[in-house]
This record gives sequence, C-alpha cells and structure tokens, in this order.
Amino acid sequence: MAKHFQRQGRRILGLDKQSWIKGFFGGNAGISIVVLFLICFFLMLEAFRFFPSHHEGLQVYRKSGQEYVGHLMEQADGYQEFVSFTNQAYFAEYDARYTKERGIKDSWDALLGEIEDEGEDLAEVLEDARDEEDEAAIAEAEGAYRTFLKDLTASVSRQSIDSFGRLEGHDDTWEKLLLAAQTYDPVEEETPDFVAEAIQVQKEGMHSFTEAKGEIAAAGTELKDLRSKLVAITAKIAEDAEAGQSARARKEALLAGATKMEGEDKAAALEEAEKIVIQDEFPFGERVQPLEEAKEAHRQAVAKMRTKLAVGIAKLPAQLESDKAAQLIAQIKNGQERFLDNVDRSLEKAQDWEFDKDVGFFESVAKFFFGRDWITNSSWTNVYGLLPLLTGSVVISCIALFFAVPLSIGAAIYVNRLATLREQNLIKPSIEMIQAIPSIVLGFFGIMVLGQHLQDWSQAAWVPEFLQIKDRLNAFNAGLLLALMAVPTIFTLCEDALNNVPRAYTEASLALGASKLQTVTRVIVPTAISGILAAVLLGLGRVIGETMVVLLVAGNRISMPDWGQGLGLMMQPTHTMTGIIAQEMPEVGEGTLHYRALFLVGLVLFSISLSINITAQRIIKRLGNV
Amino acid sequence: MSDSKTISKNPFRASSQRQKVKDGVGISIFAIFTYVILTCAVVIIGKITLDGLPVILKSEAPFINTEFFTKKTMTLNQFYTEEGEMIRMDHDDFIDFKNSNPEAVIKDHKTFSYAGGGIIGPLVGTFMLVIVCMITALFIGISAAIYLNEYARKGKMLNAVRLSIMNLAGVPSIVYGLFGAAFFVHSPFFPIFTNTPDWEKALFALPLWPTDGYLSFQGWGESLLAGGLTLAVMALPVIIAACEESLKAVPKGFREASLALGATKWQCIRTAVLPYAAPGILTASVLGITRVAGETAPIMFTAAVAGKDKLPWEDAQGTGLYWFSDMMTQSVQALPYHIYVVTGKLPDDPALKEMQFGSVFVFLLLVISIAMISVILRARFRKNLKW
Repeated sequence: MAKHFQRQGRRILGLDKQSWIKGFFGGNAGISIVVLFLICFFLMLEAFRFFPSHHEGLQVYRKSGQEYVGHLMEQADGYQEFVSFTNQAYFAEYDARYTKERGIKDSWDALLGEIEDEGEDLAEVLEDARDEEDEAAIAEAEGAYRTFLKDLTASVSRQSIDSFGRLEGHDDTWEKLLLAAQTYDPVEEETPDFVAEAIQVQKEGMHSFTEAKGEIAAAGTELKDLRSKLVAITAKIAEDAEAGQSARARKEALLAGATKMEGEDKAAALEEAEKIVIQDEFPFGERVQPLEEAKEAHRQAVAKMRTKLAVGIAKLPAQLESDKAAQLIAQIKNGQERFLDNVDRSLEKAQDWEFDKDVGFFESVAKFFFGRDWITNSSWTNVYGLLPLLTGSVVISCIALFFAVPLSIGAAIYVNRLATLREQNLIKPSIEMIQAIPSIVLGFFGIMVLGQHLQDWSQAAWVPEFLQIKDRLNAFNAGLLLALMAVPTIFTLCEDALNNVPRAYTEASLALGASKLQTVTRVIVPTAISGILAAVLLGLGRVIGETMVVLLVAGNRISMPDWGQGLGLMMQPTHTMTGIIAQEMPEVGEGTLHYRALFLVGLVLFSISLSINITAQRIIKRLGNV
Repeated sequence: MSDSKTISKNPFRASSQRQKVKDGVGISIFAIFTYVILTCAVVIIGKITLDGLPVILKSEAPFINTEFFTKKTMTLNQFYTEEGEMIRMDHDDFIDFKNSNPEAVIKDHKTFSYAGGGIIGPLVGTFMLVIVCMITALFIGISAAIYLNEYARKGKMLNAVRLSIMNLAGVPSIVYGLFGAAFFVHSPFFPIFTNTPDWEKALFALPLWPTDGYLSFQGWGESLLAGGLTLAVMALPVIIAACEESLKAVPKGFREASLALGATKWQCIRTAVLPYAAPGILTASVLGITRVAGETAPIMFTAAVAGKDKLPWEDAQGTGLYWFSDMMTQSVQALPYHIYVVTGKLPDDPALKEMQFGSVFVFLLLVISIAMISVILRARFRKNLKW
C-alpha cells in the first residue's frame, strides 16, 4: 500500500534520492564514532612509542654509569641542603644576636668606602706631604682633609650607609660613628676602638656556631669531589655512546639513500658512508672501570660524612635568640635521621649497581607509572614519572569536590523542591551563566585576586598553623576555583535527577504527615540517589580534566605531596597531569621522547575520564534513573 | 521511631514545634548553599568588571577607549622622566617620542612584551576561529542530530553513535588539544594550496596544471584551520545534544500529517520539522559554541601564538585560492590565549594590569552577553512555540 504514495525518483548507484539523503545524515552521525576512534588512535600512536625509547634510554643510563652517579648525586644534594640550612640559621642567629654590632661594623665599612672613594686625591696629597716631612704642607693637607671629612659626614645619608637599618634606635652610636669618621686618618687607617670591640664581640659570641658550621661544611668535601669527578666521566661516556649511535644511524641513512641515487651522487654517498667507522659494540665495560674502582672511595666518603655531620650537628648551639634559626636547626635535627637512612639506602643501591645488568621492559614501564620524579630540561638526565602529577590531580579534585558536592546538591534540592517560583527563575539561569564563565577567566581571578586574599586570611590568628599558606599559588586555591567550575555540572544533572522523581512519591510522603524537609531528605533524595551519584562522578570528570585553572593557579611545583603534613598538603603548590601537558607541550619537538611522554600522560588522562564517564552511565542504567 | 508512633495516632496532627524549627534550619541551610554559589559568581564578575571597565572607558568623548580595540598587541615601555614622573607608552608611540625628543632623559627603562597596544589581533583571531568552528560543527552536528532523531532505528549503530557522543562529551579539553596537534597540525593528511610545497613533510603534492602551484598534502601546521577544527570536534557532542532536544520538541503529529499528505521523508523534514526546530537549534548551538570558544587548552598547540604583528589577511601571500589557503593556515592570536600569556607567562608587574584586566573584561563581556542573549532567546522561543 505504501508504495502507492511513493514517487520513484532517479537512481544513482542503485540508491534513490531518499536513501542518499539518509546516508548523508547517517554519515555525519557516524563522524562522532570516527572522531572518538581517531582520538584513541592518535593518542595511542604517540603514547605507545614512548615505551621502547624510554626503555632504551634507561639501558644507556645504567650502562654508562649515570645510574650509579645518580645515587651519589642524591646523597650529595641531600647533604648540601644541610649546609645551606646551617648557613641560613647561622646568619639568622647572627643578625638576631648582634644587630647593633653588625650595624656598627657594616656602617663603618660603608663610611670608609665613601671616604676613600671621594677623598682619594686629598689623601694622596696628605701622604705625599708626610713623606716629604714638610710641616706647613702637612698642616695644610690635614686641614683640607678635616674639612672634607666634616662636609662628607654632614651630607652623608644614613639610609645609604646603614642600608639594613640595623642602627635604628641607636642614634648615639650613629653620632659616635660620624665623630670617629671625622677624625679618621687615611694614612694610619686605624679602626676606632668601639668598632674593633664590636667586631671582637661578634667573633667571640658566634665562636661555637662558627665551629659547628665549619664542621658541617667540611663533612662532605670528599663526597662532593667524588661527585664532580664521576659526573664528568659518565657524562663523557654517555655522550660518546650517543655519538656512536648517531654515526651508525647516519651511515645507515647514507647507505639507504645511496640505493635511490645514481652515478656520481651514489659514489659520493657510498664513499662518505665508508668513512664513518662504527664500533661494533660500545665498550661500556671498559669505560665504566673507574666507577667500579670508585666504589670503595665512595663508601669511605659516605662513612666520613656520616660521622662528621653528626659531630657538627651535635655542636650546634641549643640556646638561640632567633626564632628562624631555632626553626631551621630543629629541621636539621629532625631531618638528620631520615637523611642518613636515605643515604644508606642509596649507598646500597649504588654498590649493587652493575653496568651489564639488563633493565627489564616492565621495569621501565613501571618506572613511568610509579616514578616519583618528573624532571625535564635537566642537564643531567630526564626522568618521566607519573606519580607526582597523578597525585596532584587527585588532591586538587578532592578539594574541589569537597566544596562543590554539598553546595551544588544543596542548591539543586533547594531550587527543585523548596524555592519559590520566582527564585527558581532567577537561580537556574544564573547557575547556567556560571558555566559560561571561561576557565581562563577563573584562573585569572585566582592568580590576580583570590591567591593574595587567601594568603592574607590564612595568617589570621585562629587559623591553625598547618593551614597557613606560604605560597600564593597552591592546590587549595585551584581547588576552590575548580569547585565553582564543577557546580553547574553537578547542579544541572542533580536537578534533572530530582525532577525525575514521580510526583506521587512527594504527595504520598506529605499525606502521611511528613514535613517538607523530611520528604526531601528521606523520600526524594534516596529515590534520586543514582542520578545524584552520576552527577558527582561527571563533576569529577570535569574537574580532573580542567586545564587552565590548574596551570595558572596550582603553583606548578612537581613534587610528591608531603604526606607528613596531613591536611597541610592542601596548601602546597602542586602540578597536575593537565597542567604539565599544557606547560611543556609547546616547547618540545615533535617525535621526541618528551613529546611522547606528554602524549602518554594525555592517554592516562583520557582513560581516567573515559572510565569515569562509563561508570556514571552504568550507575544510571543499573540503579535506574527512576 | 517515635515519629511513626505519633503519626499512627493522628495523621493530620500539626507538626511539633521542634520539627518546625528543624525544617526551618534545614531549608535555610540549603538556601544558604545556593546563595553562596551565586555570591561567588557575582564577586568574580564584579571584581573583573570594576577593574576592567576603566580600561575600556575614557573620560572624554566618545567615552570608549577605541585604541584598546583597534591597535595591535605590542611591547609596552615604562620609564621615568627626569622629574621622576612615571610614563607608560606603547612601542610605536615610544619610537615617535624618541624621534621627536632625542634629548629626553629616560630613566629606569623597562619593557613588557605583549602588554601594550590593543587587542585587535586576539579579537580577530578568536572571531575567525569561532567562524571555522561554527561552520564545521553546525553542519556536522545538525546533520547528525537529524539522523539520530528522524532516521535512526533502534539498533547497534544507534547505540554505538550515542555511546561515542556521550563519551566525547567527557573528554578533557587538553586531550582534544593533543589530538588536534597530532592529527590536524602534524599529520600530513591535510592539504594546502601552495607554490612551494615542503617536500620533507609532504606525503605527496598534486601539481595543479596550468598554474605552477601544488595541492600539497603536508598538514596544516599550527593554524586557523587546525584550531578551528579542533574546537569543532570539541563542540560536536554539545551541538548534537542541543539539536536533538530541539528536534524532539517538534510534535510527532507534524511529521505524521506531512507524511500522510504524501511528502517524502526529506520533504517532511525540510518543511514540517526543521522550520519549527530551527530557532531552538540555533540558540542552543550558539550557546554550546560560546562555551567551547572560551576554551584555551585546545588551541594552545593547534592555533594560538603569543604575538603577531599582522592580522591573518595582511600576512597572507599569493592570490585567489592560494591567498585564502595561506590565510587559513596562519597561526593567530586568540583572546583566551592572550590572557594566559599576559597573566601566566610574563612575570607579574603592575604595568601589566591594564592589559590583563582589560582583555579579561572584554572576553568575559563577550562570552556572557552572547550566552545571555541565547538563553533569553531560547526561553522566548519555547514560550512562543506552544502547540
């Protein structure tokens, strides 16, 4: 019967016009499948090529002995931290104890500098006069020099001499300094008594600290020497090994190219290829011999550093006037044990190092997924470890969801069930408007406004110390802004879920005498719980994939969070998976190991958000969206 | 438990005083949550408006800082005169100033890249990216929605399409950026018209006889096309969902009546469905595209550059098709990326503040007003279309 109404059109390739139109629309719909497939394909294409090159890189790292030196460097760097902490503590304490004395010494030096600069000619005249023992000339030169000193001391600015303001509140001392300067003799170059005394007092007072500092500074000299020696050796080995490899690659390329060429070109190419001498196998074993020999020296250097460091730290004074110095020394003492443990561990690893032990392929894969460092653009070696980035993303998402979930579910319940119609008409479009705020604008707000305010507020007296913010850009700041980004997503989906609860449920509950709130919390929310859960998951997906806010606001410091700080780790700067891609991608060359590492991070991100999405869909399907 | 007991005694009993207080507290907590969200949004928009508005307004006629909208981005110079007065100048003004007063004393001269001049470059770039994105995404999106809503029957194909659309919607924007970089920028499948093909990159190049040009398959590089298409791919799920919603709103009766009168499927769609769905499709799509156009991550490695002296059409070489092809494969400045550059990549300095708040305010104003207009229009269409 239907045939009756159908007009028969022209057929092209056996299909009529209607089928063509249908095919056209269907093809466009199919594009979404194609796109999803292409995204997977191109991500994987780049990402999976990361593993072989990464594995090879790790092999060379081990064979060339760089791995061994890496352990040594770790120890030396850790030790260096002690030295710098001690120095900082020393100067903090120095400043706190002898502000006035330092002020006197520094101001006197500055004054002298000024006098010697400006009065150089006059001083020469005076010296000449004294050499010639001409009384009249001496008297004249001395007189001229006195007037010069008087003018200079009258005109000199206190800020420029006492630039740290250490003599503030010691006006009499300042006057004394000026007086002393007025009687200064450029030939005798005498230091006034009170200045000499101030210097002496400082020296004696800081004596024990100076000694401890010296001890600590001397503890690691051998380790540091060994380090610089071995770094040079292994860097050369790695360089030579790479040169050998690129020579081989060049030769192969030339030979391959020559097959396509003809005549003279071919001969020239072949000749050039002939010239390149290739060693069959790079003699790693021979070259890393010095490292094997250094193992004993290394052990001794470490043992020496251990004992000396312990002696030095024990000598550090217990009574301190500066709070900062006290804090630093407490940190030194607390960190000592952990540092020594680390030293032992890395010493053991270093001693176990053998150049010809194979790096397993799965070991190299695990190094990426469980590596605790991500170091790029370093002069030593690039390390690609996902863990700090992954934890950064997770920490920030947790903070964001902590704020976004209650706020948006509460708002959804309010708007859907409790608000008046007018409120509804105001709030719903407003929250939709929040979704329209681009993420870069939120990031901008975080960097320009929120960061500073949060830091100021966290200094308030009632905020516990571990929550105080030291860096303006940190995970907490980013989390707050991401919470605002997640709110519209969660709100809208939650509201849909609440909307789907049949009217009868509400009516039945109210008819039984339940109050409005009881109806909402005990009937409606439990019924819509699957939808709400899915909404939260999709909100998480949105937060974990957000880029610009975290790139601008999270502080971009790549390190594992310090779990020891408890909730305080929220206030640390951190880096995320999205952030690292956005930050480093524009700077890397196409096809390099780094480029592929970033694609691999992207693939991990893609898989995470895909699985979140699929789980959300499952939840809706399984529990039934009422 | 006590509740159920009392209820069983008298179901119509008024709730107790305690329950009323509890209710009041609970409801106000929900209300507070709602208004906290709104306050946050108002504070952010308000702060940016307060600091951004002075940049684009002027105290004298025409009251709008036209230079900010018409000048290209350039370096900002900051220096002190002999009297200690601080002066900030765009680079072109600075060169004029130095030429006209060669003796002028300049102290503490500092320069800030990209922080001077105006934002015509980023504005034009964003505009062109959105055009490319809109054309592609609307074309594919509307067609796909028509198929899904009008043609498709339940089955494996439909499930697969729906599943991929749903999953595409959840893909992070930076992943789209990576995909765009690998596919549109670096892979050699995309052709350009050029006289000088890049033989090393090109897969192959078709000579276009009788001109001496080639259609060279060498990839688009970081360009308008690559960026626009990446955005389009990203906008696709949003647009398909929006279009489907509008198509669904057209009553079944329209289609049935039209088919019963002997119209073909295509005639039915063209005359009885699309005209009634069109306003909804357009407003919803514009809303979706605005949201995508505000994204920075997808264009970071596919189209955007920090600074450019020329607008795309000024920089393009050649004539006709070659000129157009060259223009579309130019990299461009874009407003969101420009904001990222002046806030995230340059060291912070008070001298940048004007450019920072000015561009953010303009951007926010554009995005919010387009979004607001489409929300209002959509509401109006929904009201008018009652059948």
